[in-house]
Amino acid sequence: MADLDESLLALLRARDPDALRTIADEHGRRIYRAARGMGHSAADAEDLVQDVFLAFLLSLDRFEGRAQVGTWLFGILHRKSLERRRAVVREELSDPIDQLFESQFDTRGHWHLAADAPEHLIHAEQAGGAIAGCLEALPDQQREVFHLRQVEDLPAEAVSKITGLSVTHIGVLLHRARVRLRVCLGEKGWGRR
Amino acid sequence: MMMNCKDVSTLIARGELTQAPLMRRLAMRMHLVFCRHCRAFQRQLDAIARAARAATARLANEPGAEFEATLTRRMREDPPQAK
Repeated sequence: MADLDESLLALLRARDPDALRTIADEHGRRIYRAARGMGHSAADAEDLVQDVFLAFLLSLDRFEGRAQVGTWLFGILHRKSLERRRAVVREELSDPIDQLFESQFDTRGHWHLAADAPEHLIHAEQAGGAIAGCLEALPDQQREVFHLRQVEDLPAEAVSKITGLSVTHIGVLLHRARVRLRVCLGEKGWGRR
Repeated sequence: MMMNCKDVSTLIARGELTQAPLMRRLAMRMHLVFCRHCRAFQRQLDAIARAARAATARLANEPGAEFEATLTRRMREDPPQAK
């Protein structure tokens, strides 16, 4: 993700066609993919991307030179996505998936041998379309954090800036998302021989 | 510092492997050397991430070819709003 230099910022403020095209080319599809990854339909995702880039132009005066354009755009996408859902999603302090995870260990914190042996499920290539349904079933915040951390490969600190959540909270959400996906894929018989 | 499977798999799932203090990271590495279940759990989560990335890659044919041009036009034509 490239930083914006002052000359490009000035061109963007003047809505220079080439500068606008550069930003659209470099970041448009990535932001679109993230919107889809957050669960928006193709049509909604296209609308959302346009909203994001228009908001980006209006926010150029507040753009911090040290910030990366991608992180800035993901932050706008996060807020626009929440607005579109007309609700601030609140993550419950406790999540049933936490108990399910805990139940996989004995009192000494070792895996139950009777539990589904993890190595039965390691073949990603077999996941095919199964994971799409599991991703759709994730709570919104978990899905967004999973996408940003695991698909976009952003560090927890960047996701914290984007979402306004603490790094610790990002870890909890990622943990819940991954355990939930593992359970969901297991229920679909993913990787069973 | 002894770590059990629950400690290790929690750190793995939270993506905090590199952020943990040095001694904790060493203890975790040591645990992973001897625990095939935790190694399998780690491989499994990696596989889930790969599957999710593959699912996202299937979006390669959307949006359409006009996407960037439309986006650029919207940015040019949309009048700046009053702040």
